[in-house]
Amino acid sequence: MVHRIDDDWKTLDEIWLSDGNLAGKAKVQARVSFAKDRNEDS
Amino acid sequence: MKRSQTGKNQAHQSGMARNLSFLLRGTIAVQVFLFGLVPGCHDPAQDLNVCPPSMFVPGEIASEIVAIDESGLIEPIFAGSSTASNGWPQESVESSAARATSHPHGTQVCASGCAVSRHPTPEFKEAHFHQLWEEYLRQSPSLDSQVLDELIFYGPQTKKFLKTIPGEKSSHRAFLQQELAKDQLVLEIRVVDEFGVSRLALPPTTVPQHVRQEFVMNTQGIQPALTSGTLKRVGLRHIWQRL
Repeated sequence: MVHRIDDDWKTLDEIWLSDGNLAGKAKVQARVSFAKDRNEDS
Repeated sequence: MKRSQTGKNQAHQSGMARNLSFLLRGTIAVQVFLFGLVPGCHDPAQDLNVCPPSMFVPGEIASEIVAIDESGLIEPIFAGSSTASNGWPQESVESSAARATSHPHGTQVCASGCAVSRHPTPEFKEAHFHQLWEEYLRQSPSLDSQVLDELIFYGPQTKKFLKTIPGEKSSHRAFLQQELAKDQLVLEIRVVDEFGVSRLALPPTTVPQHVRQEFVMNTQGIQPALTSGTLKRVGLRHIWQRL
């Protein structure tokens, strides 16, 4: 998946969580950005 | 069992912390890749580029270790502190954050987590570079354009060619070098259940591009899960990720 730098959380996938009795959907989400400080040091 | 909302809430509040199995349809091993600019890889339905990413060499020694195999593609290589003569890392490279540990891709395929896909980068032909460079010189240095995206996409190969052209102090060269130097990225991951609770979370973690990372996740009421992935910059403002 492609993120734009200013994107907020993006959902990558939906999975199931279960404790053995109930199962519910959960969202796998990611957010990316530049490491400003580290890149400025480089 | 009747799956009423009340039952769900009760189970969630009282019993989720005990013997919770984390069932995934696929795998929680997460691959992160960044990709773009290769024709035929854009999925208009999702507005995404879906092809495997190209991989190129970060760091200043790119020109020494960019290698093209018999297929004519650039291998996914990493210029870490312990690289073999062919550019492949020989051992894990310590990440910038304790939460992320680098694990090199295999020599032919990813070590794990991304099945057997390779992540080749097309060779950046010198003539193609010069064509893009000439186009780039005709625009504002910071204009978000396909030309600039493509120069950034080829990363280390672009760096190599930049060394061969005159104009040390040109604003275009300075801007492009500045952008190509941004090879440290911050990744956050979370798994949010249907009640809005974050059950797995990776707080903001600095990771290098191109290198598959394994992540230490915070968990809430569930057993530890293996998470891994790779990030790659594919344009001025785009990062390709696969988890």
